[in-house]
Amino acid sequence: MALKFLRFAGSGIFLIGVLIWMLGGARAGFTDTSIVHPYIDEITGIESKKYEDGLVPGIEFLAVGFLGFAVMFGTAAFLENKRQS
Amino acid sequence: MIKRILGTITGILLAFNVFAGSATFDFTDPSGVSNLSFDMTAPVESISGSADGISGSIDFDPAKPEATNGTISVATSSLMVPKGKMRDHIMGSMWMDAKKYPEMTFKLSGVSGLKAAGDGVFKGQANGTMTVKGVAKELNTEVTIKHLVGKLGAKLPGKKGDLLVVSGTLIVNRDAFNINAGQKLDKVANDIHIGLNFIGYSEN
Repeated sequence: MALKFLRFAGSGIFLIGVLIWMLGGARAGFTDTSIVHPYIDEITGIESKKYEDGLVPGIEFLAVGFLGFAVMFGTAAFLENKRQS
Repeated sequence: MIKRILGTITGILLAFNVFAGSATFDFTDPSGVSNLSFDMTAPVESISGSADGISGSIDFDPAKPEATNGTISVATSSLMVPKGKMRDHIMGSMWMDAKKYPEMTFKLSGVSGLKAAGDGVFKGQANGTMTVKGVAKELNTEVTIKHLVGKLGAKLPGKKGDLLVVSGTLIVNRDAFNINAGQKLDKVANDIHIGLNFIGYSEN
């Protein structure tokens, strides 16, 4: 039962990590703490940016998801081996 | 008698709009559109940001655009990047040292090789001095000057006057301006690609 739970939790952490990363645009970069809104001023034709507080998830979320998955599955495999021996 | 003659000459010159050509444009942009953008290549992702704390003034005469001159300042504290921690590092003493050097300045002394590129649009080589972190360097870069006659009201409703848009790009070396010189070159490129997008306001 505990092994099943560990594997289920590991898969869940991995999926959540991937999902958050994909919602952030699946970028190769690290997490942004501001959302950038580029725009062009109609009168002058100048390109400018507005910054707004907000989180844009980066590859850390993917990495944490994978790490969680590895730890949970690793622990489950270790416990299973211990039980069998 | 002399006063009368001088008065008559001044009146004639004004009648022929001789003085009206030259104007001082204020580059403090209440609309917040003016900006300096920057981009540096890095292995994982490029570091891109902008600054909108623009101020200063430029004298411009459409009849003598080559004589365009003035100073534009950019508040160091207005530099923005999408990552909060990265911004803290940029403001620090190793990088921009915003406390000690609160402004970056572009002193424009003239524009050479000017060519008309449309109605009120001029392209040429801006000559002047750029000062960053207390280091002043000669500046020669391609710029576009766009004189938008009577467009002030479009930006500032109720006001009459002109707009002057100065835009251009340049590449500077962070070593040259003592911006964490010689450090972290494997992580952050030495070249900084800068974009200038400034709007000046002049009331008639």
